[in-house]
Amino acid sequence: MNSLPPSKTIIHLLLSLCFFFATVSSVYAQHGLDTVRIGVLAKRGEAKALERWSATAIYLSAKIPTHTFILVPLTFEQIYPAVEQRDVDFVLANSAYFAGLERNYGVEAIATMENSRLGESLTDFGGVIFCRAGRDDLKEHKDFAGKSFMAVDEKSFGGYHMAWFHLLQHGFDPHKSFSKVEFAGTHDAVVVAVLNGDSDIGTVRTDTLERMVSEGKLNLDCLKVFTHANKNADHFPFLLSTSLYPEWPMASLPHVNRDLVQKVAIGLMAMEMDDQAAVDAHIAGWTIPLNYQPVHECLMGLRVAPYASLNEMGFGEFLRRYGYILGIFVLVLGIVSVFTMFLNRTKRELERELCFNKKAESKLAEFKTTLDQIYDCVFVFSYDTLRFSYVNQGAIKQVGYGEEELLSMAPSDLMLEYTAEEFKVMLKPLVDGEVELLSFETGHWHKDGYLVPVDVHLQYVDRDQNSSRFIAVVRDITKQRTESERFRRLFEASMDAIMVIGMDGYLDCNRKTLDMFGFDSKKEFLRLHPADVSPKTQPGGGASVDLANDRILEAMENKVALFDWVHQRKNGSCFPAEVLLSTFDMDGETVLHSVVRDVTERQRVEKEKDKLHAKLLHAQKLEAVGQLAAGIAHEINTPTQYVANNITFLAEVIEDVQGVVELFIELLASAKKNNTLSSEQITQAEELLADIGWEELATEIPEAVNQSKEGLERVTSIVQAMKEFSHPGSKEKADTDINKIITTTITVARNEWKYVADLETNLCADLPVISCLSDEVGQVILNMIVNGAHAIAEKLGENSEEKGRIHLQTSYDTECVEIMITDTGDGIPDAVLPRIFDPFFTTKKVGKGTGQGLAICHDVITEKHGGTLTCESRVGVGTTFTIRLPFTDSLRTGVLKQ
Amino acid sequence: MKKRVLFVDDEPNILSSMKRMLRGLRKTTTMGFVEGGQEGLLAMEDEPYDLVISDMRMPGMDGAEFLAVVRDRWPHTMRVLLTGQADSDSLLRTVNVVHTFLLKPCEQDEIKATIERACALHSFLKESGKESCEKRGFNTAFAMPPIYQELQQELLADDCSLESLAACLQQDGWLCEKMILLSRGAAERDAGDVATVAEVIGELGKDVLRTLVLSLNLFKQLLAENPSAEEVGYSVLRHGMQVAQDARRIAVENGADVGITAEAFIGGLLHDVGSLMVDGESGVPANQVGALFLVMLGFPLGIIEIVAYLDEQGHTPSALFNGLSAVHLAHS
Repeated sequence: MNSLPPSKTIIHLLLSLCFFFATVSSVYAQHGLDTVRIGVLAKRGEAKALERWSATAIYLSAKIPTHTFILVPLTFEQIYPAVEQRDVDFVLANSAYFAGLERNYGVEAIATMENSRLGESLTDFGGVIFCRAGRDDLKEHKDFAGKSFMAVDEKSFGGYHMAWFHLLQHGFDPHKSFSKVEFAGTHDAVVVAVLNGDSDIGTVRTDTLERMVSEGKLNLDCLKVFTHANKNADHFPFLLSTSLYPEWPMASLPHVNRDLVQKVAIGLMAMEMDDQAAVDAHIAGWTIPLNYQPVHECLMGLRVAPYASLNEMGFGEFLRRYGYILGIFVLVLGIVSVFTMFLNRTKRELERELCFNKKAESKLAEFKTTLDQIYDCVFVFSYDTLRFSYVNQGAIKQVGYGEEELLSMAPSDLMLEYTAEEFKVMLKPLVDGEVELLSFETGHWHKDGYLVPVDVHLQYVDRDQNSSRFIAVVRDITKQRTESERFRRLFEASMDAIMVIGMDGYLDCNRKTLDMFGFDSKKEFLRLHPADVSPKTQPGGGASVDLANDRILEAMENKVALFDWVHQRKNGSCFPAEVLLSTFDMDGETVLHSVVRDVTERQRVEKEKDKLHAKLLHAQKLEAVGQLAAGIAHEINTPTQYVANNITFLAEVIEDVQGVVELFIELLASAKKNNTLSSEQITQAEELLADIGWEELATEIPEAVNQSKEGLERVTSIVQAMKEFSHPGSKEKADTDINKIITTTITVARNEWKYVADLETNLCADLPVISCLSDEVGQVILNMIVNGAHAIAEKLGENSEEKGRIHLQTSYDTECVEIMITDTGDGIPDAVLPRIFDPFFTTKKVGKGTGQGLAICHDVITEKHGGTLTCESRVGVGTTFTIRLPFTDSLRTGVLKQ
Repeated sequence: MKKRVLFVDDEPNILSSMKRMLRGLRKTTTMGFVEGGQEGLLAMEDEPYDLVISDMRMPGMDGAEFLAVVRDRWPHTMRVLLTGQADSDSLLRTVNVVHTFLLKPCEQDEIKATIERACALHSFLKESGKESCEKRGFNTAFAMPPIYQELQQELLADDCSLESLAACLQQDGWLCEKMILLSRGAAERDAGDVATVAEVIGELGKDVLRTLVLSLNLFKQLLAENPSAEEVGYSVLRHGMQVAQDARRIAVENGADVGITAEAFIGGLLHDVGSLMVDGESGVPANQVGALFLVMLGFPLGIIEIVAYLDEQGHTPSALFNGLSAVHLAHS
């Protein structure tokens, strides 16, 4: 494929050139700014193509109103030049032609047609091979030898190439082994020919047979189809012998704006089966572009276009590959002309020669121009000096040096990865004739200092010692590189760590992996085993190694495993992660694809949420208590009122009664003295007085009444305090007397402390009011008192006769109001002290505390009031909490004024 | 003549315990005890009481309803609510009905003092003054501003703000103008400006807003009723405003609480309102007519006392600093 006789090349070159120029001046309409041209392969003529595809152009114009889509029918001959010249923006061609266009011009499939066949919508198709029923001599491919074969057309992909390639793949070369290969022209004709016995074996595209059956043209019993078990074709509804190949694609040319390409692809995929465009085209719609590699493989295997030998190759492709030959040709032509000039010096001959020379010169100029127009670079350099002797414009453009400069340089100057010596070693096989062509990828340094990725094809021509030279055709593969670069970037830019794990450990990892695990170099990381980046054990218990193996097995079985994991960084610190393991095949080996996401932040947010939730619950509880208190208050207040009334009454009347009794006692004494009463009467009265113990009653009754009064006052104050304390609402800061909050709170918490402690207060009499959330500050003080009481109870133990002491004190300075709450409890160990304000931290027994109390207190004081809450404690001695609430500016000035 | 006080409560224990507790008043006071609103009305029909003290929550007719009927039928009877529940809804329903609230449990001293004050005021306001009021056709509807209902609702609303109140008040330009005048001492800015009105409400205090609006509207109605004496009327209003501002300042300077400051402010404003109500013929003193009308309108006891006693020699019932003292100082 690489070596062709030069003479044939030249002839072909000339032919191609003619064609090339003809194409340039082709008749296609002028491009409008918004006009988008879709080239369509018109395999059955322009009219048919228009009939089938016009609606699609109209459909796209409607979907993408910024552009007008027009249809350009192209014959088989026109389609390559039209694409090469960018006469069209999109091209719709059959899979085989698309493969050629893709290979030669880098067109890109953006959607694959969903063909509508006998009510099925299909995105792929294949070939079917068959013979007449009853041919028992034809069982396997090897039985085909010496038989005749009928296909549709030499250029038919479905009606010939597929079957051909299929047979080739199964060790049967149709060209060598069939007695003859004929072409019937149409699919139906192939079937008829086989049925008639004109040919032993036939091939048509899939669904032809079923269609003919449905049209009543065929009884399937008359045919025997060589179906081939194809595990990828289970879904395929028609008889099939060959592999499946994707249907026609819509392809975009490289020059088309990506945005537009995207819009067109989306537009096509949105096409519904009943849209006019789909109906006209006999398709069900469009889907994402399929992989056309099988098409390439097939065509390549068959060496048909675009993989055909040179005589079927496009001019562009030819130039790209064999442009250097042109150079030689030009040189030879020049030498011949000059030589001829010297030999024929007669005037007439001279004139004729001059004429020829002019022609030759113009040809030379033309070829030179052509060479220079080639996008690829052509370098010619000699073997001895390794200096460039010719460079085309493409080369000059690619590397940025001037022609003069280049001609003084060597290839190794451009490819810094090779020294001159190394390069020579590399060239050796070419020089020795071991290989004809040396192809490799490297980078060319541009004069401006950047590296251009290139694909180099080196050939050594004319091994004659004098003119032996190397010709290098170099193509800039930035675009291809960009493609793989893009994937690499996707890989590298991921915020998740992505690793590929093989049998022996890591095969690859992205940059984020190194960041996440704290490694500086990839090499260092890739040397590790997955077990090296986990702590010895996982939090739930169990060795990391064992658990990891379980997970890997799970991923191997189910193809995927998602789980939480704790990883370890290089520095030994751990972090929580979510790991997604999946398997895939790489170069025939099953490897693991591992995506690790650091979930530290997510867990933090979740914890925060839990904390908030706990707070909310707490607040709701408080509010419920408040509402309850308000309701109960009313019920309590009424009986309180009349009990209080009665006590008041009793207190009053007892004084009166006491007076009456005292008077009676006096009277009794005087009667006794004056004997105005009988001694019996006196004894009776005295006994009665002694019996009821009047002397004692006289002091006890007022005391009982007073105590009752006091008790009622306390009931009243508790009810009042409950209502005030848990009063919902007032979520705005209000000027508050902290001393009042403290007294209220002490009353509310009385039950908590009175059995274990005496409570003392030292409240600053002139404490200024402060702007705060009184409910919440009350909560904090309550918490402190209750905690203090608990600490004292803990220290004293059960049933202790002793009591501890809780002391509350308020004071203020220019900045803050300060509240100190001291208890004589068991104190807080130093180890625990730093953590007491952490949420969910508790040292109380399970069920005794939620671990939220102090955390909420801390939050209320620091977050909501900008104050401080500090704690000092000595084990066995006691604890002091100090709350400092700052004045707001206005209040502070108020205080200073006073 | 003995004072007459009627207690209404559905809890018999309350009634009997009251009777016991207030035994000490039995020589000066006739006390009635009934277990519901209906019974209360029957007792009033039988022989009107000077003072009614009613519970709020009662089956059938509740305290607010009962006292409203008492207000309408016996407008000069003093009305007190004794309640175990002081939520905003019941307070609102009784705001133009009762002269003062007592919260259960309430101590003997406080109950006694309230009975004392209410009855003293009642007996001070002579029968002749009542006739004068009735003759002039003063009733509760007379002083009720059209925006009052809306204002009530706005004050109760969850999203009540100075701006929303201002928007409501702005429907009455006269009112807004006077409020700005009261707050700033001069009508410095356009009364149509919501922000200004909202600011003024903030300066005067949301608590006094309802009473203030009622008071100013009383002036407005009286001025409208007697166009010939408009100039005199305005001078009374201007003087009232001056005294109101001074009294409030004095109250604040003396460390009075919010309630007393408000009393002093409104009392100062209204202190001479009676002079716009007398017709000259009956010879009933203006302060009596004014105070009587405020009794009818359910103004707070402290304010009525200011209007009633301001010009009366030796009538400063409390030795403590109160609204009356503040207005006295401002007025002299």
